Amino acid sequence: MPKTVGRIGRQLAVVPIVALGSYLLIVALPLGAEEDSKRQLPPELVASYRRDLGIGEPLGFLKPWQKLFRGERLGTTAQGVTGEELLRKISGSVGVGSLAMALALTWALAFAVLRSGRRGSGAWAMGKMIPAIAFGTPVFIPALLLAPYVAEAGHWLPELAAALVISASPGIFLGALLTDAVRAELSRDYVRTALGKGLTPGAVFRRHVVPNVLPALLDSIGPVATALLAGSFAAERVFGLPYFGQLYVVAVLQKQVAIVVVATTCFAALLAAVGLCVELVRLLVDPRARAAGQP
Amino acid sequence: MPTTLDWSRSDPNSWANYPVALATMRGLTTVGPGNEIRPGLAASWDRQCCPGGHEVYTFHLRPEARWSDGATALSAQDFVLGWRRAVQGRERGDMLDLLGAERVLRLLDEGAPAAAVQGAVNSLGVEALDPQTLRVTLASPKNYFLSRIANVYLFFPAPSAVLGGRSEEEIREYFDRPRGGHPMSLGSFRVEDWDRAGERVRLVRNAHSAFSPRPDAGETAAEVLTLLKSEVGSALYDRGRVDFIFVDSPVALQEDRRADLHRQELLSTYFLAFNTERPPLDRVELRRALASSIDRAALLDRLLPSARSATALLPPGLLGAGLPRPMARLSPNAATEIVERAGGADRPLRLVYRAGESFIPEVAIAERIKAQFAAIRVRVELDPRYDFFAEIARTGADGHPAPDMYLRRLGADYAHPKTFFTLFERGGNHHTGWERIDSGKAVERFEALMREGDALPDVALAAPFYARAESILLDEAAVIAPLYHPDRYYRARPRLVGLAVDAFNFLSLGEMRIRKTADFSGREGRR
Amino acid sequence: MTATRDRLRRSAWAGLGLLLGLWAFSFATSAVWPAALGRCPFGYDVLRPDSTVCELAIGGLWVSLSIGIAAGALATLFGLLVAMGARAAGGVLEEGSLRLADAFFALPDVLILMVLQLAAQTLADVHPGLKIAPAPLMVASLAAVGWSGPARMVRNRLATLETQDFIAASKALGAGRPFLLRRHLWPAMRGYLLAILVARIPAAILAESTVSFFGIAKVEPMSLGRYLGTSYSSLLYPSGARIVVPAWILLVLVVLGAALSAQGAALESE
Repeated sequence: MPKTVGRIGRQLAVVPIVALGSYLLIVALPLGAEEDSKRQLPPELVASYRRDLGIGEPLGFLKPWQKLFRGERLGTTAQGVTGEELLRKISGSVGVGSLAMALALTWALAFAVLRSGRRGSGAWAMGKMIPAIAFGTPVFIPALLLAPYVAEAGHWLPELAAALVISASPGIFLGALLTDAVRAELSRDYVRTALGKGLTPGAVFRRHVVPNVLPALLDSIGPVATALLAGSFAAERVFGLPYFGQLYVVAVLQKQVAIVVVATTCFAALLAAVGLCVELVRLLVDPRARAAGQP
Repeated sequence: MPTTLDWSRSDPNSWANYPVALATMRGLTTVGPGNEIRPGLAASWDRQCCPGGHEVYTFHLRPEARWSDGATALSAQDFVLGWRRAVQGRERGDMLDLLGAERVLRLLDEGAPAAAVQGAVNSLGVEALDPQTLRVTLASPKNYFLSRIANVYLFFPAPSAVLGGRSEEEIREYFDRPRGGHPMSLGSFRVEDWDRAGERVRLVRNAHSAFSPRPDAGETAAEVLTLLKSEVGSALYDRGRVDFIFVDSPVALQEDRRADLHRQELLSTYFLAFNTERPPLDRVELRRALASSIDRAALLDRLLPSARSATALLPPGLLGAGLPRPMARLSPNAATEIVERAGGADRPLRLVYRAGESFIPEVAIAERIKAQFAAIRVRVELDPRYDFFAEIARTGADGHPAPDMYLRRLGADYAHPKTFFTLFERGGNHHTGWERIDSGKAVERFEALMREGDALPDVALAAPFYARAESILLDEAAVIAPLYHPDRYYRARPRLVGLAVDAFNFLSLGEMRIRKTADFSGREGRR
Repeated sequence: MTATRDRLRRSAWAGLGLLLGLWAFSFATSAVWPAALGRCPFGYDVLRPDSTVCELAIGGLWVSLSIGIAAGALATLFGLLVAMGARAAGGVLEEGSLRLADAFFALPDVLILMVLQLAAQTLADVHPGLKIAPAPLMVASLAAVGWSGPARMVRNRLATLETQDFIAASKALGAGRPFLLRRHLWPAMRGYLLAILVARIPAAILAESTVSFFGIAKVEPMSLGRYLGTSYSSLLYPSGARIVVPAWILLVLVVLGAALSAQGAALESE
């Protein structure tokens, strides 16, 4: 249990580090501190900067959060956001992300099957080329090819298409990882022993290989979630989805620095939440995690 | 997409706000197809010229005009509130016509105390004689004023019954956060929702508007309009998911021309502006050399299906524009000689232009200017900016405007040369520093010529004055170099009756009716 | 097994050859012999009609590869220094630096890149003297974003190596840390570090392409990543495929080359 607590602690530690880091980086910029800077930037941006980031106030890094919890707007009047809007957009992105995670596992499975084809076969050759094509294709390209068919079509089609596009590359990465892990397990002695004892290949796979491959799969969920998040920025823009990724990009372009600080922390919190879920699942499915730390 | 819904306070990127502003509001007057002035929110008006050198208009408002809640009547006080906010807003230079506005702008620029500024604002030449009568006093006679207040949304009213007594922050919140029926409107539509991240605006029909279009038999009014920005606009149009689209992409324009592709020549000019304060561009001979060395035909070659080169700020077809201006092109050798003499090759010059999508092929034009100037030994650094208007307004560490040059489009808001010259007046958002050339004498002569022309009742008679004013700007001070007059392309479903883009680049959403068909989707978009 | 290792070794050389060949071809045709790209079967670009698609795509490839290699090298070096410093210090310092690396690693590259570019551009606006040229700024941003992965990997690798018998034997014979580093750890890490560096190249180009797509960064001279990020919308139109597909294929080749060389380099170090 202490080992699990340690892992959970490591996940959660990311959030305050990112919150403080992004705040200190933005506050370190010489904006709003001197009279000169008011001529360098639009006055309402400077005003929003000082007001929203609590410049000069003790515990100023809590100011943007304070404003959001009070229902006040963060940023300039025309381009700022309230906490309610932020939550609405986060929930949209989480929905698309959850769908993308499930699709990534599907891609992973499909790719693993392709790669396990007979050496020299067409499927096997494709299994070699597909990672290069997937990792060499920026998300906005397949998004643009698919968007004309689903944008503004309603019925959650744009969200589904965005999830499909975002999940392809991380799914193939996951598939490659899974295939290698499964191959490594299949070559172990205990598998040979189990087969020798008369267990069917299916039973060996289910009872022995899968439980040993699960930890590797769980370890890769974090990086996959990160990759899904990265892909969501471009996909939301191309599919016209008004969710968190698009909000973030617009905030950066409009130099709404307080929103950037808050949104960066929210992303870190989302990823930490994913990590926490992974640890919970690990506790449930991996007896070694449960046993760790016990005398 | 709009940058603000607060039509009084506005934003320098104002052209993006016009579609929504004109769909939801009206001015005191309207402009007919032949540029004739017609009643708008004012049913009639009287003009008095010129007691004390000022021009006075008394507007009699339509008694039946109601805001979109159906209960609040339009009042003269609504104009007083709106114009007093506009004279302190981000495009306050456009309010200089009014008596007392110059004093307000001067106090604001000097950073005077709020009480002094408020005192000056209260003395502005706009007052409500009674709820139905508005008196407007102009600093001097302006033959364009009635045309101006038709479309320039700074002159639109704001609902004083709702906003009176609120703080400035609350008023901005009222406009920029649509909900619960606000902001109220007077035009054919009302803004119901504005999703900034999603880049879409949802308009709903204003049933209480005195200006709703009257559908003929077989037609109906649009109940809901969604304006949206999309990466795949043309594909959405081809698949019937939107019913109107601006075709701005050069790639799209190179495709086979569709039967429903329309082209509208705009009363608009795209120009290169110079920072007249920072060396070496503080040398007028260098600016003239750069301006006259540009090969405009080569600049626009193969960029658009057709392009109209510009040698004048005032586009052809604009009332009062005068005869076309010939411009002799300076040979590269002669230009190089001047550049070297004036120190134009000493350092790279930063050219700022707007980043993002536009119907102007800015990237190509900027790169060609860079190449053309390189041929005459002037090095140019290109700087595309999403925060373009903030960047050109920014002051550099040396106290001069931040960029050395910038590329910008200026479009007419009404049919008068003043619409182009306002930008370059003292207090205008030109950010070239030209008001300090020759200790301000150049801009004084410019404004004097404007005043003389504006005082004449007939715009055609005033054309020579405007031509001379233009000559100060382009030839004598060489503040800007006009490049071309843009056009706008769009595709629209035939069933959208009354919807068009005019020469002012205004989309006539307020006049739109829908011919009833089985498969109408009721949306329009923008690429 | 030996046949497999030989095959992987050949693939690694092929991958490295592909990367270096692409860089050399791109540099030679754009910087040394630009006329070669003037006649291009894909025609002229639409947004920049004075340049052919070949000039922009192939000509921009060496810029992207250079940025990727420089950023990868910087990120790997920084990661190595952090990892080695953490291992040497141990205890709370090692834990702290790992948590910092975790924080950077957890967030997407693109997100941190956007924040860094925003900060750098805003700083340059306020203090023009602090302005960094676009390409070095992109290299610095990518390195700042990419150090955490190498730091984690190098730290884990060091931890594994230090448990090996030959290290224990060397320590028992009185070897000091510098000697261990020079004679044992560095040779064992060399290939691994090369694999990490090479693996960073396509990630850097993709990240640069994505921030260019948003218009947040603009690398000069025109890079492949920026070209892809700004011309992608041409794909909507039938005639637009000729503009985007060449750049896309080049990027896929870079990924292929990087994957092959990273695989082989990692194998060498085992």
